[in-house]
Amino acid sequence: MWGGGSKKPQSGPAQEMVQVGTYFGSILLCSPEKLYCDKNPRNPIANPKTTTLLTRIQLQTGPKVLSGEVVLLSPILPHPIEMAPTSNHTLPPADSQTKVVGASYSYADMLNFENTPARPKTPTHSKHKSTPSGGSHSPTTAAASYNAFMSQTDDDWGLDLNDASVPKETTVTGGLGSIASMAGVTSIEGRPSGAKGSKGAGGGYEYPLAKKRTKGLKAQFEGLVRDPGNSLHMIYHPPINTDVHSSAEIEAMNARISRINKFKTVLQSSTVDLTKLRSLAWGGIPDELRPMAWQLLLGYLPANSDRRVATLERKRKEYLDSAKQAFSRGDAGMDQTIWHQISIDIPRTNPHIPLYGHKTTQRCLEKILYVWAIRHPASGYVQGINDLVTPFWQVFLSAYIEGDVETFNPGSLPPEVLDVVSADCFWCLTKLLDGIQDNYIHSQPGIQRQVSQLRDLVRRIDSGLAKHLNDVQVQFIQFSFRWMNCMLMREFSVKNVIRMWDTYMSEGNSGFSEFHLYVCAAFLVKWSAELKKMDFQEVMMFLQSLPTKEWGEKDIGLLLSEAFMWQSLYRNSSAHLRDDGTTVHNEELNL
Amino acid sequence: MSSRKKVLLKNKNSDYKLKVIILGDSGVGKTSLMNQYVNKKFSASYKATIGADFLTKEVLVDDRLVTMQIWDTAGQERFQSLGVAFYRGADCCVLVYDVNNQKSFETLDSWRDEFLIQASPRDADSFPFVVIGNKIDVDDGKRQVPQKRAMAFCQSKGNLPYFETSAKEAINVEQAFEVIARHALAQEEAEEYTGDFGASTIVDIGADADRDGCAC
Repeated sequence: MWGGGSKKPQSGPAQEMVQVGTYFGSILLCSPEKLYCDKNPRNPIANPKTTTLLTRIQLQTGPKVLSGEVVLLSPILPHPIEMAPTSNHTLPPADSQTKVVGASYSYADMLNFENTPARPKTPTHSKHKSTPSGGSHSPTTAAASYNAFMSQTDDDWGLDLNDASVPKETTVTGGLGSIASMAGVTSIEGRPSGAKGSKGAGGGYEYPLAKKRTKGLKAQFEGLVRDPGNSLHMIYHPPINTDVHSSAEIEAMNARISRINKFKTVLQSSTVDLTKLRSLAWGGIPDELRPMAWQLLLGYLPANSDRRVATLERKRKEYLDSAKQAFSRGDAGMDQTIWHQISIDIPRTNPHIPLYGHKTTQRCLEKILYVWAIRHPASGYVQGINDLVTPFWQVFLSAYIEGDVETFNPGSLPPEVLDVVSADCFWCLTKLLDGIQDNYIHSQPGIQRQVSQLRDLVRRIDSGLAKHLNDVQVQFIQFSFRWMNCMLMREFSVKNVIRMWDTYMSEGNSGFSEFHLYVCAAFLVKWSAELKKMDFQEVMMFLQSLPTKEWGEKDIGLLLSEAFMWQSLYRNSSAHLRDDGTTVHNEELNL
Repeated sequence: MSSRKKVLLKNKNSDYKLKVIILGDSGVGKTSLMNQYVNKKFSASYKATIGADFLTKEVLVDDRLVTMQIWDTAGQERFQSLGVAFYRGADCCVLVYDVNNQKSFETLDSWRDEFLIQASPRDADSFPFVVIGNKIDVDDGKRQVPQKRAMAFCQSKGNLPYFETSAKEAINVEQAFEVIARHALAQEEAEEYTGDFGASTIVDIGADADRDGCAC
C-alpha cells in the first residue's frame, strides 16, 4: 500500500492500531493533518526527501519513483513533491564563482598555476605536493574560545537563508564544477561524458579520479587532510553504458547523481545552510559526502568555509597536543583504572570486522578514548563508548581510502592521515557525547530516565505488548539498558548504525538523547507479535539476539520513519505521559 | 499479587528455574565461562558485556530437571547501580576472578558485599556463593594469586566452594557449574520450605519497594 515498506499492507478499520506498519497506514489515512500540520521540514511525510525513504528505494528521487510507489502518499502531502533535477545541476549562479569560496574553492586557490579559470581541480598526487599554506583564507587566527567561535558560525545561518533563495535550476557556466563537468560523470542520457578524454586535454594534467596510491590511499589525500570540502570534487561516478547497464541500473545511477548534486549544492556554498543540510541528510547521506556532512552537522566543521582550514588546523593540533601530553610520562602519569579498562576493551571492539583487528586502529582508538576520558572526569571512560567511536573511525577513514573500509589495513597510512582522522574522531565523539553526558556519569541517570520513558512510551503505543512484558515479568531495564548505553550498536551492524546516525545528527542536538528513544520504541514494537507469544525466558533470549543480521538500508529507513511518526505524535504529550507513567511505575515496583 | 518466585517455579518444561548471577571484574572471563558452559564454545572475541546478558541451560540435578537462568553481568564498576534489576531473586551468585590478576581477586569481597546489599536475600549468611579462579591456562609464570590464598579467602567467607577453571580449554567449567546448580537448587528449596511462603513474599516486597523508593 505504501511502497511495500511495511510488513503488511494496511487493511481493516483505521482505529485498529496494532502493527506499526498498519498503524502508520492508519494515520496517513485517518488523521493526516496530525502529521502534516507539523511544520518540521524533516517530517518524513511532508518532506519529499524522506518520503522516498518510505519506499523501498534508496536514493531515488527521480520522477519514475515518484510516479510509482510514492504516488499513493502524495495526495496527502502538503505541497507537491519537488522533483529532483536530473540533467541540470543545481549550483549557484555563474557570478557566484567569486563568492563561492567553499572549502573546495579554497583548495583550488592553491592551484592557480594551473591556469584553469573556471573550475578548481583537485591536485594529482605527484605534481602539486608542496601546496602553499592557505594563509589567504584563514582569518580566524585570533579566534577566541571554541564556543565563541561556534556562536559566530551560528550567526552566519542568517546569511544562508538568503543563499537559499538562489534559483535552484541555474545552469552552471563556471565556478565550481558541475557534476557533468567532472570527469567520470555521465549525462543523464547515459552517455559517458568523456572522463578519459579530459585526461590528455589538460596538458598532461591527469584528472585524479580513482587514481590509486599504494595500499588504497587516495591520491588526493593531502587536499582532503587540509580541507574536507575537497571531497566534493572526488566523487566517482562509474560511466553509464546503455549496453551494459539495465534501464533500472541507469535509473539508479542517475538518481544517485541527482541526490549527490543536491548535497553538493548545499555543501559547496560558502556558508553551508545547516537547516537545508539537515533536511537533506535526514534521509541518508551519500557515502562520499558523509565525512564532511557529519562534521558540519555536529558543529565541528564550521559552516563558513573561510574558517574551515584554520579551525581544523587548530582543533587537530589541540587534540594531538592533548594526546601527546597524556601519554608523555608513560604509565606513571596515566590514570591506571581508565587506561586498563580501555586497553582491555579495545581488542574486543567490533572484533568481527577486520579493520578493528589491526594494531593501527587499536592504537588510535585507545588514544581517542583515553584523551576523552581524562578530559571528562565526571564520567570517565564507560564501556560502550568504545562502540560509539567506531562509526566515526570508519566514516572519516573512508574519506581517505579506496574500497571497503571494513577490510582496510590502516597500517600503511601516512601518520598525518591517521592524526587527522583521530583528531576528527575525537572531536566528533566529544560533540556526540556532550549531548548524552548523563548517560555515563555515576548511576547513569540519563539511561535510567530513557529506559523509564521507553516503558511509558511503549505502554502508549502498544499497550498489549507492555502488558505482556509486565505479565511475564520482563523489566525494560533488563533489555533496553544496552540499547541506550550503546545506542543500539549491539543490535545493528556498524553500516546500519552509520545510516541511523545520518538521521540522528539531522535531528539536531536531541538526536542521540531524544529521537533515539523513539527509535527504540519503534524497534521494540516491531517484534510485538512474536514477543507476545513468549514467556520470560524466551523474551529475554529473543531480545538479546534480535534478527537484524539481514537488515539493510531500507529497513533502517523504515525504522527511522516509524520513530519519526511516534515522535511527532508523542513528543509534546510528554507531560501526560509522565503522569500516566508514574502511577503505573509505582505499581510495578511492588512486584 | 503474584510473586516473582511463583512465576519462576511454575514454568513449562522443567521443575525449577534457578537464577544464577555471575559477578567479577571486567575481563576476568565471565562471558567466556558462561559460553563454555552453555554452548561448549570458546571465542577470543566477545564484545564487552553491557548491562547483563542472559543465557539458559537445562540440567539434571539428582534426576530433577532444572533450568539455569544465568545472568552474565558487566564488570565495570559504573554499571553496579544496575544490580537491583538483575540480582533480585537470585539463587546463587558466582564470583569470578582472573588468577593472573591480583586486583580482580582483591575485589571479590566487595562484589560479594555489593551483591548482598542489592539482592538482599533473606538470609545473607547462608546465601550460596561459588568462587571461580579463571584463566589457569595462561602460563604459570604469570599467575598472581596462589591457590592457597584463594582457598583461604573462601574458607574465611564461610567455606565457599572454590574452582580453578579455564574457559578457554574447558577445564573444570562443567564441574563448577554442577556445584553451582546444586547450591542454587538447595537455596530455591530452602526458600520454598522456610516457613510461610506468603509471609516471606511480603517481606520481600517490603524490602524491594523500599529500595526502589530510594533509587528513584
